Amino acid sequence: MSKNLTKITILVLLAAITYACKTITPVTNALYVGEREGTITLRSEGVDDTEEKSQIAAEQNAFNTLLFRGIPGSSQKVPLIDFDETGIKSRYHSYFNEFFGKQRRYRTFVTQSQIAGEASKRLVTVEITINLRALRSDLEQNGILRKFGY
Amino acid sequence: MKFKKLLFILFLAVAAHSLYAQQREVKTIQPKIMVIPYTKEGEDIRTVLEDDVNKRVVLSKIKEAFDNRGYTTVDFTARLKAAKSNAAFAGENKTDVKAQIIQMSGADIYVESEMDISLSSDYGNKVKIIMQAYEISGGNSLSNKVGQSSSFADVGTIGAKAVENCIEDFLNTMQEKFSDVVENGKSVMIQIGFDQNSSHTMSSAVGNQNLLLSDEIELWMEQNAYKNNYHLQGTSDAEMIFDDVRIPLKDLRSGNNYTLTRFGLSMYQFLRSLGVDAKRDVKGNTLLITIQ
Repeated sequence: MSKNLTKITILVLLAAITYACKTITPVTNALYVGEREGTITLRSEGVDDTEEKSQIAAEQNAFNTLLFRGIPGSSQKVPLIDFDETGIKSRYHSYFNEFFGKQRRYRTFVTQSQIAGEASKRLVTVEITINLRALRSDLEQNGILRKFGY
Repeated sequence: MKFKKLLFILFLAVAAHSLYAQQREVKTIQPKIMVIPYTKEGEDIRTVLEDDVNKRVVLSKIKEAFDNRGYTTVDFTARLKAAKSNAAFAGENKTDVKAQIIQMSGADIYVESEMDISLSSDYGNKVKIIMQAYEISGGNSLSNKVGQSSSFADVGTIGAKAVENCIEDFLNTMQEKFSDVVENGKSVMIQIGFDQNSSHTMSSAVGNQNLLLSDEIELWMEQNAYKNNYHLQGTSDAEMIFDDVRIPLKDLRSGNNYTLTRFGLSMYQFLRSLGVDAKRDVKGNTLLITIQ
């Protein structure tokens, strides 16, 4: 009985360690490349198991930086929504679930996304152009962002 | 049969709720914004635009940026035309005309744009745009940005480019100030004075507790200024000036828009409760109380 318990404990520990190793944190914030007529172009990195997943992670990292951190050097120096990423995402759970989840609605605001430089299997850098004006209007329509004014 | 009844009640409940929700929708009163050209000393705001197409281009570009954010601005040229037809402006001093156009526009905020042109046949022309937004009543600065263009021959084009380079940043800064208003209330000024024939002064003992009138007013302000946010500029026997009192945008109980006149009414009722009669006037964001 005691032997079995030890075995189970070891297995649980191993599973936890494996899961912890798999947890991926964003590499860097997105960097500013340029702006033109209501669009913003950013360079962003993503890390995951495959090149495709890494590209998605890089694109989502660009959006997260734009929405919750702001882009130094650009006209959007302050976050498009707010710094409170966790609070906003939980308050508007269904919107962000659709936005970043399986449906990847964020892609409707991408006018161009291409891998910049050589991509390894895990680390991918993308140069992504986001339709900032449309994104802002969408956030306003869904009540996440207050319209200009009071 | 029971199920049908239940369904009917449910339908009524949903209909009543949606009707109530529709009735309760209150549109927040937005500040009026007007974009005006900067005028140097000796320049006349009435002619500055007519004389310079580039300034008109820059002004249109700034207005366009507000439009892109879904915000309609007060049209300066229309207000200017109205002012020109107003005989009262005919012989006015140039500075007064600017102040009067701003006053009669009904705008709460004005955005002033200045254009600095450097002409160079060797390196191409360059334009610098300085934009500043002010609250008309209090003179508080809301946003300041400088935009610079790259070199090009046509001044109008690079002027528009210079606006493009800084306008989003400028609007974002303004929006941050608006968020502060939503969060902490609108800033207003309150001046309390006395009628010539008034028997009261700020040192008069009033109310049940026989406190000084100035103390009673400050205690009331402490309770009624939004989030207890007020600043007393000074008190004398003859007057009391609160240069910054925050009032909420919405009535905290009803959810309706809350204006300075409503705040004035509350203050009037309070003074009446002390046995003090008063007259009140509102000019822009300033409440003037005259104790009789």
